[in-house]
Amino acid sequence: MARAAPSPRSDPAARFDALYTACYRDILGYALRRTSQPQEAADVVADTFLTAWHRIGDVPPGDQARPWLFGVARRVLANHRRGARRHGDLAARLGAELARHPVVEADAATGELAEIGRVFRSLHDGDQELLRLVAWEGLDSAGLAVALGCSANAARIRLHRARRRFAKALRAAGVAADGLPAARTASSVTT
Amino acid sequence: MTSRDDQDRLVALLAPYRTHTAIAAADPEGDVAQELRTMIIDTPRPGTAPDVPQRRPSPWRRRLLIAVPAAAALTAGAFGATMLLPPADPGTAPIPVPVGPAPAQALEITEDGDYVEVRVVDPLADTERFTEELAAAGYDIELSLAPVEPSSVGTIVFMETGDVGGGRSIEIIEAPGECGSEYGGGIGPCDVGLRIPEEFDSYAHVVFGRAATAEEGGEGAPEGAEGFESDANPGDAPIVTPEQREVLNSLYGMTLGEARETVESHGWTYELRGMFDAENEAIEAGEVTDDWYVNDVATLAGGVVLLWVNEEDQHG
Repeated sequence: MARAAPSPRSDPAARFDALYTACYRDILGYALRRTSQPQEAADVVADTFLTAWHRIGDVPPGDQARPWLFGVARRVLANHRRGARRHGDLAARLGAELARHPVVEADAATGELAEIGRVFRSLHDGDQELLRLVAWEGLDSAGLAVALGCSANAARIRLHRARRRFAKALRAAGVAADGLPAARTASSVTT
Repeated sequence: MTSRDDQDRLVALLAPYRTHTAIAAADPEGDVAQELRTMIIDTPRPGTAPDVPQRRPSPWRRRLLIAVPAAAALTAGAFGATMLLPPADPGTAPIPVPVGPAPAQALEITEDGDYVEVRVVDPLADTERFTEELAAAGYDIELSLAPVEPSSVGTIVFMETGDVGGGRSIEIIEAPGECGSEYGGGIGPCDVGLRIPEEFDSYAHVVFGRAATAEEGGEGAPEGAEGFESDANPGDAPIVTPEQREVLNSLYGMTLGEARETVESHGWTYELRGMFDAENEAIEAGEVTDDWYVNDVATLAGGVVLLWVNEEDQHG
């Protein structure tokens, strides 16, 4: 999941190709895990990489490229939810392919896991997304900082606060995670 | 059970997953992904986009420096205005655009190849005039300027563009100089207008921040001016009078208890925010205690003070 970012910088097309190959699967996974409709996920992927292509000169080098793309994907997703930009024509085939594979909501499960899902969704959206970026996308504080557009210190503070609020909410709900299955690996989510 | 690793494990368990392996869609070298890649890369990149790394503000925080000398606006009693581009070299004079009677046009609209370039000539013109002139040029673009704090002058405080179907969209015209602030997206070149593709037939709404007149609460504002207590300047960067700024600046580093007392003594209300909370989410008063510290301060119209608080004094 945490692949190295592409390095060629002189040729925009070559740089985009390297970025696309290295991060496509991660961005697709990001979109699939946050949308309910296959076409919406496809649009998020298309718009994220379209933005990256248009702003290829802004993509940071090295390991920062991947969290930078997550930051773009966050904004694209937010815009989609406001009914803004859509490029269905770009992503029509991807959307159709994704539609062949139904999504299973993990927290639709019953019992303790369902309760954990309920507690998690009671958090602020921002806290939820911070915790998802860490647990689902594998970002550390430095990656969060790039994705959120803030300093690493600020990212650490925000993450600390989000973890504390989640722990408090779990305690208040009397949730214990003993006996829950081990987490699926992130790479199994979309492949 | 709520250690970091445990939390991450719980959250990972909540991830939705697909019941089948979508090899064709998930493989970046597969047909589906390669078709998408080709369509994207065939899309023309904005002509002015650099191919080398460069600090660039968020599209929502682009800059346009339009300074309105308060005295001129007052003495003219009308729409006398000057637009200033900051000098390319700090020791040289700004480039003036004539001061005088209201221009015949609110916008300067010129053609440049297959683009139309739009520059604001009269920053104090009614929004309707901008929109009318753009409509006359064949565009459905709502353009306006809102009075903002000096640190936000030259910043686009709102920008929304409709779907262009993968085609060319609106670009920002830049000019050499140092615009913006370290806290408003960074200091960088000034953006002085819009560059609109000839074929652009979508919708756009752009609001540039401009300097406020004294009447609005900017520099030279009379004592007791409403400033951000007014509801007349909605948005996320309302005007703050120098008097109000002095009080607001004093809040940095105060404890929440002290800050609350100060805010309320001026008849303002306050909302609490988590420190560095980019999502702008409110936190409840019950989540913090009076001995927390104010690390950042902002304002909303209607006399609302936003206080970013933290257990530690980090305002530096």
